[in-house]
Amino acid sequence: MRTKLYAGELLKKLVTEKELKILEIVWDTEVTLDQKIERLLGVK
Amino acid sequence: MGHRSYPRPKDRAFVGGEVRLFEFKMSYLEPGYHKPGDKPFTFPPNGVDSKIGANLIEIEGRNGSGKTTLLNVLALALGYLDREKELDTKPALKRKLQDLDRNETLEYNFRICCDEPQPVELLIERKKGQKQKCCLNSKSISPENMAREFDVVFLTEDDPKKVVTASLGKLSRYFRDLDNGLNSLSHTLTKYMIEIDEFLNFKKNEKALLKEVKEHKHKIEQSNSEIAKLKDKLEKAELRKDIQEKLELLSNEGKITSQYNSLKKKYEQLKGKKNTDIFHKIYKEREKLFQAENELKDISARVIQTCDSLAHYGIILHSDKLLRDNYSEFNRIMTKTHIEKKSEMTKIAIVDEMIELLEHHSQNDIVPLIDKPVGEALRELYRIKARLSFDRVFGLLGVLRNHLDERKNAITNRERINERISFLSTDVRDLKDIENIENAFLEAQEKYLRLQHALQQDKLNIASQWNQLRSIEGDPEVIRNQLQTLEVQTKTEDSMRIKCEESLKILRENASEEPEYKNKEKKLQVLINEITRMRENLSNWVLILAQPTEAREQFTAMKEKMGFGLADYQKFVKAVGEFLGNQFEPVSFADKLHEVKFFDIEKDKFVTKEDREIPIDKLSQGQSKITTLTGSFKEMEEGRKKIVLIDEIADLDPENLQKVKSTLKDKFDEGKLALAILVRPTHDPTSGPVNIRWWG
Repeated sequence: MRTKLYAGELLKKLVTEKELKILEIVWDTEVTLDQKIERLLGVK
Repeated sequence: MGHRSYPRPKDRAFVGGEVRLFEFKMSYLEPGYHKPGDKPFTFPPNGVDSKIGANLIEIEGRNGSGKTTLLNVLALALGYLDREKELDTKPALKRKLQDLDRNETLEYNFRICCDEPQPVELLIERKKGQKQKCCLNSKSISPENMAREFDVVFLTEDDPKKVVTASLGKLSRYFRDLDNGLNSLSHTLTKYMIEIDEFLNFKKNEKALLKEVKEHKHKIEQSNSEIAKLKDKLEKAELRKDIQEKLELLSNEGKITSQYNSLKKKYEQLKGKKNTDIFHKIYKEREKLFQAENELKDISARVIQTCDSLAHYGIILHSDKLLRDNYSEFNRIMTKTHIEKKSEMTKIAIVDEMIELLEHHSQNDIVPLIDKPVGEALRELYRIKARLSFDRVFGLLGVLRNHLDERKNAITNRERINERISFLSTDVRDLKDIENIENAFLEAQEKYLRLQHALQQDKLNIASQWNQLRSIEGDPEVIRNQLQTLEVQTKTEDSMRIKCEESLKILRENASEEPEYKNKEKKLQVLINEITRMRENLSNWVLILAQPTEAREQFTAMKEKMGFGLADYQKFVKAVGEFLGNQFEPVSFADKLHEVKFFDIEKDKFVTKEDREIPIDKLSQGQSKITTLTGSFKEMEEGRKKIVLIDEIADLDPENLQKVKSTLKDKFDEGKLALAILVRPTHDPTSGPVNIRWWG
């Protein structure tokens, strides 16, 4: 099940935009680890 | 209030089964309270229906009716024991739930049905001594998945810190979950990096591994050659030792045989004996000794009395001398008497002998020579004896002689008993020593058998072998240890060789295919670095949430060092304070509502939008329940339904209670709430033990 980052608003204040994207990808339970890596490598 | 009693309100839709329903049954025996045969605690009590067709419920009951226990058991069934952070602030509740969970007699059955936004049926069942089973919409569901679907809000008593503690605990768990996700990702990325590195450095790695394999092989060859030499040396040293032992055995043949025979005899004597038998025998002998001593005392008394009687006739015999076995006086008097009464004594001796002889026969046997029956002859002989003993002094001396004879016999008997006791006591000592004797015997037996074996061999042959082997050096035990060490080293070398060869195989296999991210090595490394930095931050955030003051002191002391520092701490505390502050509805303080903009996790204070500070423990009693409830709905995750359990709503004033109910009703209508149970005590003596009704 894909869920939103629980404390997204808090994280926005604590991490960079890139780091937030990384965390969103890590948090996504719908994709496999390899798919996550593919996506992470595409993050700019 | 508008509450109605069960049955289910008729205005509710009812499609394909129960749409809105709470069914509840529980029972258990309280250890230490219930006695065998007692009925267990049950809820609902007898006569009260165990289901109600609603999801917003109020239970009013007398003290001890079990309404709070129902909430505890329901919280337990819904996995509330896993909420460690919240339970840490409520040790009594934690203990209660743990006790209930460990109680083998606890059984319960809960069914919750609701229809917003779609029909949901949750069944939780636990039977005595078994684990609970859960079903969601007729499908079995694990406790972890149930926790993902339902969130329990359990308000037991007013605790000003509860809402903050719960929020901080949730944040900590969330950060740890993020860290776990990043960790497994980092692990995989690092593996990819290793593969890329291996691929790029294949030739170099292959060469190193080949060199390593060669070295291992060389060491194994060397070890094997040394092992062969040592084995040969060991064989000779063992043979030398064997011959030497045989020669020693043969030279000690006499000693070994006699030692073996002596120990064998002793061992065989003792092996059938038991301590209890011997102690019983000693006990019996001691009884006999006691009797013998008494008999001796009796005899001594009689000797003394007879000496005293003789003194009346001027015959002085010192009894103490007689009792010390000094018979000089007695013998002198007896010699004198013998001379004077020689013929009487001879007659008495003959009479005594005849009496002794005739007493061996039947009374009616006829005595030859006198041609009279034995009985008659004996009576006659006793009369003669009485007549001959008429002389009192003579008679007393005869009696004394008999007493002294008796005494000698008694002394002999006592000595025999003592000898037997002494012998048995030796056995007891030996029995205590039996283990040592047995070991000594087994050792002697082994030596003896080896001797027999040596005796069967040709002595000349043994001597000739000894001449050949005597110059060989080395203790077999030492050589054997060297051999074992060397064999272990060789095995280790060999397993290292196998590992190297396997690594080589894998290296070659991997090198046959280009790694997936070969061309993205730099990007992977950047990503790994970013993940590492985020994980460091997460770890520090968890630390700050757990101990904000200690963390600040630590970061202050660190000053200008690399990594997470005081500035990062301040940034985090500010962000978390704003995040938490945003979760609260306006709080009531000093008869005024205040909008919250910040919560200081270090000082446990709210900061209002007007920059006023309100310590959380200054909030009014009912207010913190409302704050907790509204806060918990505000931070709610999508897709998770709430189950709200509120104990002691009597704590709330009517206005606050109405606020709680309105909030719950709104959330239920929005489909965010599956069940709410509010519990209050009753003081009405005319009402039943429990009154269950719905509201909303």
